[in-house]
Amino acid sequence: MPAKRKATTSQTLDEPDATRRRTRSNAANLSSPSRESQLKDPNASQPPSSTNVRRRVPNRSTRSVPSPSPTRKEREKLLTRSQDKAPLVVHSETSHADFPGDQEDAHSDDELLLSPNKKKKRQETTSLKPSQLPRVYVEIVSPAPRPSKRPPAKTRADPSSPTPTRPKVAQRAPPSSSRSPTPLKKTTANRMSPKLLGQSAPRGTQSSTTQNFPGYGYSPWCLYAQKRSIFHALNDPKTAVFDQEHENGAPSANAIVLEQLKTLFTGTLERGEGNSCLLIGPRGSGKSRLLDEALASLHSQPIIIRLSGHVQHNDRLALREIARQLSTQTGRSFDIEVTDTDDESQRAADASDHAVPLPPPTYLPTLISALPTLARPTVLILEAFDLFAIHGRQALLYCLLDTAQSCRAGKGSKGVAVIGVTTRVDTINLLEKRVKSRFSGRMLRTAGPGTLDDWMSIARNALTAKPSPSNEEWEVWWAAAVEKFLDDRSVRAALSDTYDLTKDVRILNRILMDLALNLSPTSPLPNASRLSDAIASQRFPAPFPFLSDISYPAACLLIASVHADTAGHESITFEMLHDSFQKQVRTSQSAPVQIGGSSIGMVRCSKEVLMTAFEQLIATKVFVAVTPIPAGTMKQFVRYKCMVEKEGIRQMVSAMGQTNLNQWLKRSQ
Amino acid sequence: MASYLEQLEYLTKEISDSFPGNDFLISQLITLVTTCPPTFTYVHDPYTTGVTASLVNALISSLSAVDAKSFVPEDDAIPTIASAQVNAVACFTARLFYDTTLNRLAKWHPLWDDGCENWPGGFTGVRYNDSLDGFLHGLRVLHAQLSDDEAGRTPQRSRLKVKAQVRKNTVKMVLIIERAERIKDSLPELLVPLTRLAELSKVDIHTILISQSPWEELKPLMGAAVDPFHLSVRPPSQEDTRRILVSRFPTDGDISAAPHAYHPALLQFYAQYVDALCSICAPFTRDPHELSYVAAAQWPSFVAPVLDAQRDANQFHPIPEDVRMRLLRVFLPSFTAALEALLPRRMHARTWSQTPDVTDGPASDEKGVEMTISSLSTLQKYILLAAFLASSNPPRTDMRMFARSRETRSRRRRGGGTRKAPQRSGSTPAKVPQRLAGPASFPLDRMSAILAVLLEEYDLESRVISKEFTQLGEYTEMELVRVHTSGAITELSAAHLLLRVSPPDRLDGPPMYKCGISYDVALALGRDLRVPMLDLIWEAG
Repeated sequence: MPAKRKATTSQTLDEPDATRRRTRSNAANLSSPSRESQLKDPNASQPPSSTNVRRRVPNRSTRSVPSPSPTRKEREKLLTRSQDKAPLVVHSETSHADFPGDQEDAHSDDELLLSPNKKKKRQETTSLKPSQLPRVYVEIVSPAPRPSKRPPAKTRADPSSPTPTRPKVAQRAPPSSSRSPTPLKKTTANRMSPKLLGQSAPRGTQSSTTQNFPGYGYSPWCLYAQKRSIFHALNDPKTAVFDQEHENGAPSANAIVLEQLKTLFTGTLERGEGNSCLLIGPRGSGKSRLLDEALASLHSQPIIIRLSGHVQHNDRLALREIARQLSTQTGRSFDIEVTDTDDESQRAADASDHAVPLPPPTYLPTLISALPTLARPTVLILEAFDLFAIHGRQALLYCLLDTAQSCRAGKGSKGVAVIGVTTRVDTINLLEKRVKSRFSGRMLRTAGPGTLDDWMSIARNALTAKPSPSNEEWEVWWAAAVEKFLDDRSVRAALSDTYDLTKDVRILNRILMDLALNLSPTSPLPNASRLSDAIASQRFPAPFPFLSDISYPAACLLIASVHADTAGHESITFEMLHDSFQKQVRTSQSAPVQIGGSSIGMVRCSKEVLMTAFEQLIATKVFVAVTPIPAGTMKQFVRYKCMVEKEGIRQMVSAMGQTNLNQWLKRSQ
Repeated sequence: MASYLEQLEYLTKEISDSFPGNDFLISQLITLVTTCPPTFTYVHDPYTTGVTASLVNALISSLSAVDAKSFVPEDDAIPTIASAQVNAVACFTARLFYDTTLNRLAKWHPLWDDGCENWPGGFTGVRYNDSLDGFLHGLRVLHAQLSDDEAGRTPQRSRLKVKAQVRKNTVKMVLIIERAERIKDSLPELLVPLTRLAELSKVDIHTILISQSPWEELKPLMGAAVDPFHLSVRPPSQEDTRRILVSRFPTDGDISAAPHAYHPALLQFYAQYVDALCSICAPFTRDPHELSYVAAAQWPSFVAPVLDAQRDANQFHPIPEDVRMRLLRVFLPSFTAALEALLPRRMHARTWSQTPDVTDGPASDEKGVEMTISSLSTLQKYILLAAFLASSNPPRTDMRMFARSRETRSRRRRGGGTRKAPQRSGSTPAKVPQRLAGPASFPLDRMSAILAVLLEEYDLESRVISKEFTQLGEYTEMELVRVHTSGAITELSAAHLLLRVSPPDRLDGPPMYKCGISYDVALALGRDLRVPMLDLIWEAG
């Protein structure tokens, strides 16, 4: 009865003392074949009686151990040291059903406790009953592989790995969950909610047979829901915290901006004022979010017209768009009469814009001046405001700002607010004098997170976003994991590095998203190495991540280009590379040394195959043409330059591990 | 009723089976798309862009085929996905792009009978493809329409009106653009709006660009575009490549059919063949497409002896181990030959599989050029030689190399009195030999002069000179200005053995040419005409 035996094992593990439990539960991870079996057993969560512990002592003594068993402290030390290096996974298997449970526990436990008498005991038992020994497989689990950074650990990813133990484990391991990697953090979580694992799985698992996280007791649905809420929090700009008050009570820049925006809108909506302002701030500092927030807080809904400098490249496109948005929001038709103008330049402009029926520029003042006469106040939002300043004669800006300025309150006309949103701090200088004089000069400045603490709390808030459907046990467990993650010194260092380089919250968001995305049910905890992987792939991704897996001809071409560079040639042609390669092959094959019947020289490669590799490198932008390729140039004589740094090529060659290539590259230095 | 997550797991497995070696990307994409993806994702795949594009297409379309209503509502956030995959090569104008995107998002198929009408969008007379503004409006209308459809399909609509409102937000649009590097050239003005599509259109739309080049290449200046969420795909490992190749062996054939090259019973044998092939060819290319091309070309001839032995049998006998080993040993050299012929596409796979002696290898490009040259006239050959010399020798060396005078026929070659000693300072790099740097262009006059020297020196004996030419070189000069010399030059430039550099309509100055033959061909030509080319080339060797 293996289940019962396992239960007995677990009974000895949960001890009331917190410290002891931590180390012992590590031992549990090591020795217990299945965490799940613990869940099934109703006795598992009960505090273990001292008899259990005591019962094991005679067992040990019966095996004629001469030296006293080590103190608990020593054992703890040993364990901690052994686990500090890498998380261990132990696959223990008890294939002999007739083996007495207690004896076996003592065996496996003892083996893992690494007590000084272990060796002797083991020898004895081996001599006694070699076939009845529990088999224990220890596997060092590396963090979850990130393919963009390094090849996945063979033991985990490659099913045909030559490592002999792994397939055996996979076959022999009990089907429940003995293969789960057990990171150290788990113990903390267990300490925080000791009864957690014994309770029923949350909603979402009942309908399904989805296997639980091995060793964690949560269904994959929990992690999925958590990921979803994290992504949601990261994409939804409302979670930013840097508009809250500072510690000393002074409101932050963004809070002030929000207040000012609200005041401005109130003036326009309630008193019919004409207002204009510029919202300036770095990328990701919450300009659009604050604007949306201010608009959402209004009591009555104004007509909102959104324009973007990225889309409306000229005033006539903008005009058309204004008319269109006005018609959809007011129901009134602002049909534009497309008149055929005599102006040659305008016809040319029409033709270039795919013959979009554009309104004539004369329509501009008519439409804009009609804005205050509408039934509701109007709010115009100009994203990428600086691009509007590039438009010819700034006619649109002139008309808009003029209308806003001349809008008189109390004449029965409604207010107009023109809000420009931009990242350029010198936008005001782009405006012509006549436009600038019509602008109110009001500039609101937003700011990103001001301190590292803000930055960290953004990360904390995003990572601990509440999943829906909510599951309290999971949340507590997850919050503990996140707290531990953020308290890690290397995590703090990595985040602070990123903060020093860029204060753009979006980069932090992408890093956290990458971090969360790569959590899997088998290793659901964030850690420092995952974070550094995420930073490497999101902050500034390597332009050529594929170099370590490059083919032999392509590697030869890159090394040849290094040689050309060393010789002082800034640009190369294919013929130069090919010539260099051929010379190298000839040199390396001139030595009449043979190993195993084959030459140790470099492998030959026909010119056409090299050319194919060269074209592939051009397609992946490793080689970039120096000048636009003149017509009639033969492809082998087009001049290119190599975009990979020498250091990158050196790393690539050492990763490939071919001595020939390595030597060839070294000769260039 | 299976849970949504189970369905996703099943999907992951299904797609992993069809695209081996991409499990990581698949699980990442599924998690992203079904939860709350970033508005702009950039997938960088330098090697297997085509495979990744079809993977993403298969994945997103099967995700959008999943009916969110068929699950127990674990919560309201199971999204309904509308997707459109657009190829930036096919959509080379903005209007094509807008139409294709909207049609695919709306699952609208233009029919010939209806006059190939695009997605109408609910309102008559409104066009959504005229400009970016129109496109954004189209997206908004489409999103509203899809949400309404969804709300309409919710069974307890009347009862749970609030719920329907929640549902309304869960229509997720995904726009996938493959070969995205083309956008930079064909639709540069669209790149920035595409990265900010969700922000501009105010609907839940996510843009995924799949490209061969890194984002830095595409990135517009001035930081106008939002930086993407990066996903990068590694080239498949050797094991994955092997699995991909084996998975392309057709397994749905009839097991009882007569023996043929793709008989299902041969699958195991094919796997061993692929192993051997990969071990030889994989260092040269990592592209599974290329390897499967080579494998397909070689397989029929490889398996032919086995099929011959099984011809009379009613059913397939297992292939003995020694036969396998012998076959592999015999065919190993031909794998390299096949790779060298097929990878640069010097030969079609079918031609290759029908070639009896495979180890010989096909005719190379150079050989093709030589064949063309052997059919040229003697004068044309001399013109080519002269062109080659003019292209490879610096003009200032012409006097030294070709100058003739009555008194001294010995010419001064390298190291002549006026030649300066080469300056070997660290700052100036060594000069690249002309034959590696490519042919230099030359005026026609210069080539004519060199041609005259060549004709005079090496061809004079073979001519019968009439008596009226008394002066030395008079006959050759006469020869040069004949119309058939100009005709020969035109003919050669039409065959691209001479390349005309200056535009044909330029009147001032002599026309400029470049030589179109390679160093080896020129040497062969020199041997043919008994011209000592190595003596005449400035940087011979």
